[in-house]
Amino acid sequence: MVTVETLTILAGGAMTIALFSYLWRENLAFRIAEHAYIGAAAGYGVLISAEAAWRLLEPFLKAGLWYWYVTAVIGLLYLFFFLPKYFWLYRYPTGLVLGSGIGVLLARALKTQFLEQIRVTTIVTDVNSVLVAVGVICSLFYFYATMEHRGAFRYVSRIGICFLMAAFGVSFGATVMARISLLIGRLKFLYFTDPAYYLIPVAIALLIIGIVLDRRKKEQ
Amino acid sequence: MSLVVKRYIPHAVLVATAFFLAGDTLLLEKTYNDLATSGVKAISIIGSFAVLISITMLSRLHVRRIQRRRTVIESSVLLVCMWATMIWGLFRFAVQGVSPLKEFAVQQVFSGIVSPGDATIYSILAFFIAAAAYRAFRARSIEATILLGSGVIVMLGKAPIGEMIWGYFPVLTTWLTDVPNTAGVRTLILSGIIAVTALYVRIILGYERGWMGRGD
Amino acid sequence: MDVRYMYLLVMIVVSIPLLKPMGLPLGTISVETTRMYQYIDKLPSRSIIVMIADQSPAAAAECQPAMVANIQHAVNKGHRVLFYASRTDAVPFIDDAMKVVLGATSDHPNYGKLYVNLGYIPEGELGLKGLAADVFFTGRDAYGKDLRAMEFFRDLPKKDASDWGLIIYYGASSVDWVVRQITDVYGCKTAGGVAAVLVTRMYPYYPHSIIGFQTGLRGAAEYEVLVKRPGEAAAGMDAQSLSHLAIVIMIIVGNIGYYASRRKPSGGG
Repeated sequence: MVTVETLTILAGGAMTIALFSYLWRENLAFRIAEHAYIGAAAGYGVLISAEAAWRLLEPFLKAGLWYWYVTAVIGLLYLFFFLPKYFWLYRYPTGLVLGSGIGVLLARALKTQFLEQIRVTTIVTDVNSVLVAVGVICSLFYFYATMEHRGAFRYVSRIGICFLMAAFGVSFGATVMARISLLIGRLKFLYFTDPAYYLIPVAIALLIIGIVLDRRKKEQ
Repeated sequence: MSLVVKRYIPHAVLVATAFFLAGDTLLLEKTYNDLATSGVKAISIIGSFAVLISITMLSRLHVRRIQRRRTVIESSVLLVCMWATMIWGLFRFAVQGVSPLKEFAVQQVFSGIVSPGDATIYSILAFFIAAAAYRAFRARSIEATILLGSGVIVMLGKAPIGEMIWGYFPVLTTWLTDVPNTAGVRTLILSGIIAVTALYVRIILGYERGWMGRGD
Repeated sequence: MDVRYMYLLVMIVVSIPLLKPMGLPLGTISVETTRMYQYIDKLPSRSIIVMIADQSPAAAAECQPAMVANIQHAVNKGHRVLFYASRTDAVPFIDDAMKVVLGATSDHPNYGKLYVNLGYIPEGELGLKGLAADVFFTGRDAYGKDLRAMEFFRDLPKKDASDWGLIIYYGASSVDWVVRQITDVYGCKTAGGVAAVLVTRMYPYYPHSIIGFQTGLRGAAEYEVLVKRPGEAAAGMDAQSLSHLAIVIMIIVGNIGYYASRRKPSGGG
């Protein structure tokens, strides 16, 4: 019996295959799947945001603090983004949110991400920590742009580049690992979820038909 | 309307909010901290409304595309998925009190469209990375060789097969992540935070007005 | 050579070990994962572990097995777990993880006593700051139940983040904000079940602020071994191995071909 969950899995499988079809070439199925994803994600995001906002607002309204409706009114000012004549009203909620981000970050980031990082770098206990300290100092020299990199400065800067390149190489390896893990996740879904695996022969057949039609079109 | 209302008051709101919340972090005074927590709740509620911009922009763009007979099918699919999900979910939540988390249809939309869509789009990058690695990744200089070498060592060190090929791959990987990677990323964090602080100070002082968008 | 042949090769290389597992041993468990395991193991019973779900559906392939393994560990040790999502599309993953380990979500007998799901808290760092200052920040949980009526919160001395034993971040964006707002302010250490793309950014804070973390699918597989709950992560490691090897071989072959073509004398005379 076909249940809604079965249809959902089939939809997921179809979405996966349609999006993978981009690897062959861009096509209508890919574009439809892509647009369906964007629309559904936007709609879903609105629902979750609305539920979260209501959960925060409701206790104040239930306590009779009606002035909390002002937060919703200020939030609605975002819509003036689309009206050139009253665009300036959009700056109020933006100012509040941006200001909160600035205040929250500035108060702590200089300690956590600046002073603390410098403090930890100066704790030298073994060869590796010495190398880290040397690497940080040399890499910072590389970013120093107000002096020409000449003589000893140049060599220090080159050591810094080597450390940075090694870091980027590690980042590359980690990124490959992450993307392959994603691919493994998708293929596991396609291969092992009933009834998604029934879509695989359908996809292969469509691909073969597509390749044959492409070849005929080229010959013509 | 004067520049005071259009520019200076929004800027003052930004500065006041920034100092108010920075003060909450640095001062330990219960009344002030409680007021700040209420302020955080208010700003969280206000910030949630930002999604209205994305749905309005998507709707305008795709309705225009349909009107101009460009990408009619794709745009229609997008608009139907977006509005059907929102209308049904909001109806069930606002009128019937069913949370989107518990609403069956909404969860099926997430499981059947959003989740596979997001995961597949990013997983396609695996193919592009592999192709790019073969076609473009060349050890043309010392720096490129270091980058390539450390990437290869990390890829093999993090996979079980690497340890089977050579037992020192995981050891080298650990050293690479603990020493040069830490040094490099720490440098990026240090320089990044200086840049961000400079940017935020410029915003507070009013030199940076990009956040205000277009107009006067 | 048409690049699509390379895509096909990658697809074959990843598919074969999934369809026919090779059973490669996982190998040495990394220090970072071990330290995270030991930290959770040594926490006093009924310690509060906060789990931030920041994984998109894309990152969920790596973070979800890690989250499941960590919840299993917390259940085994009798710890309390407080979940919340910092992005809208991470909300269902909390429910999914709870169903895998506990078999239920809000209907579980220990829900409200040992496990609470706060749902989505907006505004990322600002929302975490609010939650850290007041654990009743949202008022209700994700299912609409009143937090003040729950046994979970009854014996908390300060009702803020200083009562927490550990905060674990799952996702792929950044962990700086968690360290900034929680570890440096309230002293509660941070851990991670992060996607591999983020792992390079964990090391500058490790081990003084971040006590340990799981690196992508490999880290999740390691944690599954440690809690003796083999799951999704362990099953994917064969495919991970073969695909990494294939990409390394492609890089080497590409470079050999490049240098060989540079050595060929140019035509003409």
